[in-house]
Amino acid sequence: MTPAISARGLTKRFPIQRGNSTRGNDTFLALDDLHFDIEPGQAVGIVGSNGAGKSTLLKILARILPPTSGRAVLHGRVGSLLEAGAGFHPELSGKDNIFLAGALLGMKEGEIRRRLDEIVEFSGVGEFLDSPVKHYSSGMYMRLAFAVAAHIEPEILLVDEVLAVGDAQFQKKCLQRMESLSQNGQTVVFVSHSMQAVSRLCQRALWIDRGKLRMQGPVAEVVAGYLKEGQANTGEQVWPEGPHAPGDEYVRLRRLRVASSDGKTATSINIGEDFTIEFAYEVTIGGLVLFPALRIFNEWGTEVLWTTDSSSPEHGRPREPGRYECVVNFPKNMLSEGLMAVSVSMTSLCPTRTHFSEADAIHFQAMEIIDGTTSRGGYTEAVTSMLRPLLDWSVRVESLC
Amino acid sequence: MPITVIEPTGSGISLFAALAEYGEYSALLRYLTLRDLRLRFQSPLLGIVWVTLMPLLPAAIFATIFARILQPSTGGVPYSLYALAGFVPWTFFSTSVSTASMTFVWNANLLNKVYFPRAVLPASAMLASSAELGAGLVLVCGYSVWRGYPPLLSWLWLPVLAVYVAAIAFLVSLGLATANALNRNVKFAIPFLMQIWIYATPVVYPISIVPARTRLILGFNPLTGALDAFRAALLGTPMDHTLFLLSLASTAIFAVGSVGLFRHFEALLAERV
Repeated sequence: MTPAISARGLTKRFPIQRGNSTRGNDTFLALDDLHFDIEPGQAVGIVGSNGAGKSTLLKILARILPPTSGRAVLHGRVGSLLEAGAGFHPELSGKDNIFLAGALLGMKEGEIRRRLDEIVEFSGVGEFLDSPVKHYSSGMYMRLAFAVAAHIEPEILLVDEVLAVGDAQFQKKCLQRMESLSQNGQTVVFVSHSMQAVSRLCQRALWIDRGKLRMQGPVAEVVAGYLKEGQANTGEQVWPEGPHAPGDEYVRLRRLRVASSDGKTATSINIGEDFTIEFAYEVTIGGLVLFPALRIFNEWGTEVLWTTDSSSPEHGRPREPGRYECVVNFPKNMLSEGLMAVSVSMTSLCPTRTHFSEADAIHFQAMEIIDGTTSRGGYTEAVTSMLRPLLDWSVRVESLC
Repeated sequence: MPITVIEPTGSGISLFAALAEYGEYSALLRYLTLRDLRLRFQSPLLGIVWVTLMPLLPAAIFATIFARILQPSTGGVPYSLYALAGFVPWTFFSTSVSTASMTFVWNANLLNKVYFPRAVLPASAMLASSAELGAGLVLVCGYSVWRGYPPLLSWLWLPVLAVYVAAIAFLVSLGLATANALNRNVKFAIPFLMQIWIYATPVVYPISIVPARTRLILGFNPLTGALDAFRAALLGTPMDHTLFLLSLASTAIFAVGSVGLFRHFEALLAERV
């Protein structure tokens, strides 16, 4: 069978900009001699850490950037979805924007007209269709943007991490839509940081590491290899003494880590066991009432929980200068599976002042071992809830037939 | 099933295949033009007043000041009518080039997120400005009747000449928009270029006051012959055929240069802009 996409020696060099000029021969090798074939009807995930070249590859396949050398051949109509809402104009109505964005994605006028009702229904903007999109909430805006993109039906669909936005319910809808596209025989190339989304959607994956194709094959193998390398996760971060650590003249962050039940720094924790998140901060000017806080985000960017030191005797008291260590215990059976990002912040009130706020400072993979002790018991299908408490069920058998 | 071959720049597709692709994206051209029009005419009345004033105001200023001081000979045609017949195509040309030549820079984000044949951007900006040209045509014809120059059969040429001026505007914009994407200093040069260009074009003065040899040099400005023909068609005055042929020839040179520059850098626009 002719591959839907075949790449031979794809290479991309970018000139390194110095100030405003591009003089000199300094270049950065973003993609280095990539060879791969993608069969028609396959959904292929592209994984790799930030800056590895995933998006550059997608942009070359989408014809936004030309390669420096090498060649790729694509069989079939190509649609790309690198940013939801590209081409949207805030002053135009939702309906006008549907037509404009659809045409940008290569749809013909008749095609857009035919699918208009479907797009409107998928987006759920309903009665706001004729108001300018500047009055939309950001959620509505994203839903409309994705709805348009989801209804192009090219033979090859290139998708960047557009799913990282919107609420959990809508993300689920987007994933389902992409799943159905690939089941209809469309080729889908999907760049994502979410291993869960890649595993669920794709049969195969490419792992790109610093511009090189590190591994390609069945999705489970590639994702496992990538996670094992630990590039996705950093379970601990330590900041140097002195002014480079996050913070200000009052207080600075020193260390943050996640530890499994045995006390060791972990890049993955078992949701059926207790774990801790520990962090240290240093107060240099005393007298402020400080509120340290931790937040955990799941891989959809949804905030799963927020916690501060309210249960400790230090809570609400002015801090003396010195070093403070916090250990936060997380009970088992709370989080769901997936890649979690931890943010840590320090705030004082009256006036409200954020001394530091480190987003995504550490990551860990929350994993589940299905041994019957977690909330799922013996149930083996996917569970997509955000929380996984082990609740008390009492079941009384009323009658038996 | 369409086949897309992705290769380094320089091994681009043929001009014919490129033009066929623009056919595929005709809906995009239409919606982008409609978007620009809709935004410009959000309050339709103000929009129309604005569009009318654009050529009317400079024509009125020149008619009251320039005509008194220099008293250019316009062959008996009232100077205000003569100037308006020059400012209608000129104002369109200068506003459409000024906006269309910025389109790649203004849409840098779009260029980096979506593939589409790039010349759609300056083309749609030029098409949206054509509303001004249409309004200007109505204005100048109306004024002509009012000043005692009734409609002529040659007025049928006016829309054709308007399309010709629009084509020149598009070709100039395409080259300038590409240059602008490659080097940001170009945008500072465009207002100067327009100021020089208006005096290198017989907008406010009749070409007859220019010495014969200089006239030939001015003839390489494609607008010179176009405006001369425009006035001749409107007023029924004799037309300088040499100037028009020169205009066609220089438009062809502009076309080769502009399209060549654009095609050479087309694939690189997203990363250079």
